[in-house]
Amino acid sequence: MALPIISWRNFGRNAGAVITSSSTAAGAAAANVKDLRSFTLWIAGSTTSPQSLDFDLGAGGDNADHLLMVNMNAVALGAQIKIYADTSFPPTAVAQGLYTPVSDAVDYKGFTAPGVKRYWRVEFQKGGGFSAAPYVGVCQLGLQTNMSEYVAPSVDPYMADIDAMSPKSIGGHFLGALLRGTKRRGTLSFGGDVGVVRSDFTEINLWLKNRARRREPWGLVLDSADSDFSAARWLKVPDDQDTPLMPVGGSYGRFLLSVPFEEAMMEAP
Amino acid sequence: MTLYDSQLAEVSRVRQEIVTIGVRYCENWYSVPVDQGLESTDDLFVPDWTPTAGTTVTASYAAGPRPGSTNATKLAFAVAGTDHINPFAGSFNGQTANQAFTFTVFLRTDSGSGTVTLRLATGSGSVDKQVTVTTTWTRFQMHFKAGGADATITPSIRREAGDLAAVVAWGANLSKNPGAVDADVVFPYVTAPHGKALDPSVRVSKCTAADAGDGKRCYYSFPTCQDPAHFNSGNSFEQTLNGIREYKFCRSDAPLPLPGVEVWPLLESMDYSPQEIVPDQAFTRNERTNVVFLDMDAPVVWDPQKQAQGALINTASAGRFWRRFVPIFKNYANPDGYVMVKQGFVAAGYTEALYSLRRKLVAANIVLGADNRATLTCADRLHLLRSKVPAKLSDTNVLQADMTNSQTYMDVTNANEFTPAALNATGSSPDYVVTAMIDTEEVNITGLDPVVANRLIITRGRWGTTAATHAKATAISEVWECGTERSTPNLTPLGKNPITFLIEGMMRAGLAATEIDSAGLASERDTWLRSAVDPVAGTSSGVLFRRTITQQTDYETLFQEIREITLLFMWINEAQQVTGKLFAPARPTDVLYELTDGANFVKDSLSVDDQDQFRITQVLVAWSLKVGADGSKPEDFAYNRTRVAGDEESTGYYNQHRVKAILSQWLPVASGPIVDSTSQHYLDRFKHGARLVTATVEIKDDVVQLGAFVNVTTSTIATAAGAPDGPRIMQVVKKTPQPNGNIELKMLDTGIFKRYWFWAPSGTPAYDSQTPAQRRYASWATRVSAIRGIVGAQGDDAYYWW
Repeated sequence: MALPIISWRNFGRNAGAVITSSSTAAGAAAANVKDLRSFTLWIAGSTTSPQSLDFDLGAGGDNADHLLMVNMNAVALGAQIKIYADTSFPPTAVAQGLYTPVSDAVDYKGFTAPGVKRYWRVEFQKGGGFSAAPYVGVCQLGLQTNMSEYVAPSVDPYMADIDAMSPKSIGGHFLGALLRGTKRRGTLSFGGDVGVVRSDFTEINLWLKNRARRREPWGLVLDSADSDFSAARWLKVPDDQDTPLMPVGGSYGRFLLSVPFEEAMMEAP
Repeated sequence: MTLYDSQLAEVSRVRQEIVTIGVRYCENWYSVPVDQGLESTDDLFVPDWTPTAGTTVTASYAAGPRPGSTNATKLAFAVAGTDHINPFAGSFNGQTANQAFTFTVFLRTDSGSGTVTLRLATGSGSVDKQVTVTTTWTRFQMHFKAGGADATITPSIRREAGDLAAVVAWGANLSKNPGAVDADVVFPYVTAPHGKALDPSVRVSKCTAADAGDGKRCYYSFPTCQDPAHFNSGNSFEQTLNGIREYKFCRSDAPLPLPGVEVWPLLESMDYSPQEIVPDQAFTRNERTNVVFLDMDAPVVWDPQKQAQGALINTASAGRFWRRFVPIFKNYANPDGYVMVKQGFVAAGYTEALYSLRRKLVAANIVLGADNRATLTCADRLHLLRSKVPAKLSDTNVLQADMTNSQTYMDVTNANEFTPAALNATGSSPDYVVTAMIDTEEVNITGLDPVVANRLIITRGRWGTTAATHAKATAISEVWECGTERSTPNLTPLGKNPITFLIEGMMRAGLAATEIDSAGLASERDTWLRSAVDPVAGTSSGVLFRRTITQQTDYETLFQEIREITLLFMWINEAQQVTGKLFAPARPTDVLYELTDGANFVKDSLSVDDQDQFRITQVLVAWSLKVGADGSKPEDFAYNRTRVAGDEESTGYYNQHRVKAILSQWLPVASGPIVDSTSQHYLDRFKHGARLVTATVEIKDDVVQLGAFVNVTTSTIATAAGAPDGPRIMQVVKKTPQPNGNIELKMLDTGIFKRYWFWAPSGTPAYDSQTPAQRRYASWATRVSAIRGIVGAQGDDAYYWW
């Protein structure tokens, strides 16, 4: 078992950060991977291996301990991914060795943070070249939030719902079904009856203030050590919901955290 | 079966739609004029082009890719590795050092496919590119960057080892790459006549605006253009570089439709008011569709394709998408643009080409709502028929010089006021004829002089008139002649089949030939409205109309008059072509899709409207307009005929007189047969009202198309004894997609109860052994049980003539 992870820091969105790529298809710029929209894509301009996304974070640099990618085709292509971080360009120090992603919808990979670096590279590799140009909708590198509590037992770990319509005929027979896709919507609760430890408050408030309450999407992994619940999700707070910031410095040692969510992309059922 | 059809047949599936908005876009590079250095570029004219001794050049061999062009050149190379053709390209001499160039040419084969080599050579080196040529015109390109000491650049088309011995070529350009970019930089093809190399008029990118700097540049749209005189709409015959930029959207409540393709999920809903065939009014109600989009932040870069090429763009990312789209593309209603709606499903293997094109519309309006949404209103392409014919010329548009009775041109004040003369795709004959009247002479306009401004190329003494002299300053008018000219044009013209000139009229109104189901309309014509004209002998027979339109009238009104007398239904089919059916029995080749209560109609969705208010008991047809009459009442016409449904008018039946009057200026004097058949068909159709059935079906029945015949069996339509009265053949007159994915069908009972005569194919078995489908063809009635007029052992109904 592993504790839940929230992926929300994205140093590609830092002021002055410049994202480039080894090659780019016309109209599919590398900068598209930082706008949090799963449907605006960076598409490589070539099928030769490797292809890469390069982040120049400026003199200040930044650190990361995970990579979250949304709406890509690395799995379909049979590609592997490698992450570099360095103080000079091109980066050659390996932050994460070659690994095989597991999902083209939302893929999470945690690694040991190498420290603050200016240059980062996400590299796609495939022996013999790719059968089609690699593409990515969102590429999020940064420091994740590690929750110190499990989700409450009331949280449905599958969270999946499928909108469907299946009319019947005048004669009473089933005619067919139209599905709208998988829709995840619910409420995340942490800590159950005993609440969330106070030491998490600062980190949680940063996430709520800088991402969730702004209706910007974020990644969630319920349990990275459990094959059933390790799938990463790309979620957002619904428009008609809200969640208050947690008070800090009060007399309470533990609080119950409750965050409503809906999926920020529609996946096929 | 397509992937769309197989998904439709699945029990459960995930629907998705793609809406593509195409808007006029400039193919220039902002603020960068780009020279083109060849001449005689269309036809590779010798001696502007130089073939080797073993290269045989056949000029004007075939049509080129540009509609109307007939000057493609065939190149036959005798020896591989030796023979080639190259143009005079000395215009760039002295301008080539460290510059890059792109060479393009259209090529095709007569049959099969094979390779041809293109070469760009400088004084110090060359590069070859071997391209694969097929029977389809394709534009090929290559580039080369010259060295610092190079002073010349020369392209050539060659036969190297393994290449084809012959190829057909048209349209070659050689342009200097802006910024000396070492890559293919392709612009729309331009025609450069002899002596015009490097002329500003043949630049491939013509924008001469001074760079206003980031944030103040154009967005490659006309409303933001800073050099409108040189706005570059590209070429419609090129697949890209055709002056159209597309924006793609998909439904926000479904998964993204296409992996690896940027489609914005901003489509919230579509409110259809679809086409509706209204038979009693000979009219098709136009479609209007409201597409509601969500708004969101504009893209990081507004013109990423231009940026990728290296052209200057504005880089600021600001504002909301639709709030910026409207001012950038204020001309979104330009009919050269479009709004396409494609329907499909989310499934493995889907590409956009596998989506089913359901609508091709013209944008009409955009409303930016207070709720952060944009509503785009669209109309169908039949909307174009609201334009007027013939073209209205200004009173000041007159002859600019005296005309002899033999000259084949006329100089006018403004040639742009005339309807553009159009050649069809092969360039062999006109899609429609444009006629002008000067004094009492009519002339046909065949084109515009390419050199002298406002000079029209004409043929003289047409449509039964005689060529004569005309004085300078004589007034000119345009007329629309609907008929057939005699081979000797000054003889009295003959009539023309109405469906034939409906097709011509649609093209004249602006619909492309590809937007018209000419084959389907011709099939209706040749089955139910047959006619023949011999322009040499001057004889004709069958259904022929004749009229000269001199007063401006919209096409829709004229077409409605024709549709009324012929009982023609017209609509845009799902292949996005204008098609039609005449009121007639379903042909045996028409597949009758079965719709029943049990398998198709959604519960609580079916209603039947008897439409008794549209019942008629008499049909009056008046024709052959008297001289000086305006045609607004029956007595304005020389002939009229009334057909009466006597039984229905009787005291015991409806005891009413309801008259349908058709006043036709289209019918010539000898139109008795069509008047008889039309009036009979009207009474058959409407003497008991035209029953309408409205019902909802599941998306699996999406195969039922607008205008199609269907077999309907429902308990709601019952006999006096209470049994289902059916199946009844109905025609789908309206098809409305519902927001939930179901489809509402409005179906008109054809009211055709009898079986009609169609010749059976050879080998059809005897009646008693036939399948129900075979029995839709005719079999001879025989004597059974001493009763005449019944068929087969069962004593089925006999067949009638329509």
